[in-house]
Amino acid sequence: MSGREVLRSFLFDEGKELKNIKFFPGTGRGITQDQMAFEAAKALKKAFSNGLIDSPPETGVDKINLA
Amino acid sequence: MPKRLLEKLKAVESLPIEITELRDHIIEIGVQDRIIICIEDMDPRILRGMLYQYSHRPILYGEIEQVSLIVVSEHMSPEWKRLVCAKEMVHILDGPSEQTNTPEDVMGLIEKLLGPLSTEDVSHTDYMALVDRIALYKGLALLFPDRARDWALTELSAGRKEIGDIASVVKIPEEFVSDVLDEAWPDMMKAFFEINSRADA
Repeated sequence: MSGREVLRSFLFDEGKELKNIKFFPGTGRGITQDQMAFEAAKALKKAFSNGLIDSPPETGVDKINLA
Repeated sequence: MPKRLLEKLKAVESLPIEITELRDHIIEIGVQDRIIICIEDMDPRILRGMLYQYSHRPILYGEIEQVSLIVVSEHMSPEWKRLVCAKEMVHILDGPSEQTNTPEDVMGLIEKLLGPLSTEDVSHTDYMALVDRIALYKGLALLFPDRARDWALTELSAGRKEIGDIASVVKIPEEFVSDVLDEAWPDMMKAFFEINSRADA
């Protein structure tokens, strides 16, 4: 299957209703649509298989007051 | 950008603004039940991050849950991870005409994001790609809002801080600090924030 077909299958065949999807493309040049679609599908599948572990980036620094 | 979120950020009193704070603000607005942020092994040369918004019924015959899943590459600096998160959070508030949710739209968006901008194509797909690019500006505005910008300009004029110091406090990639501090930035943001978003946010 092409990367686009893998992503399409994940988004539309797995029992969830897609409301919105957006991408932040990578820095590489000459990235193909199939490459990006495959990377997206792979990352989503990994996130789900890992149990959707919520891990937002935190700075861990003390805040500076703007006053 | 929804007015309620902007109002919350106008009142910011300290930096850096944490991603969890932004998330809490969005959830308080009430447009999303859950926002999950996962850091995954994603090649940042191919894809730095993404937003996947879906609805599902976690319990049979139970209520439908609206979920926003943001996936970010683990192979980036902390500042870039923050920026990607903020940019994708902007999309949580996309209006109906900005949302990408059909097979044709998804593949069309990928094509447009990777291809050169056309000056002759005014399709819905082009609009979604344009909105996607503008979201980066809005994401920067979430992490570096007006009050923080004013503080940064004051510090720079007084010679107390340099650009690198500002980036270190705001916790965004340094290459964007000068752009946000540019005198054109407020007018740009005013124009961008008028672009369609959910009316109830």
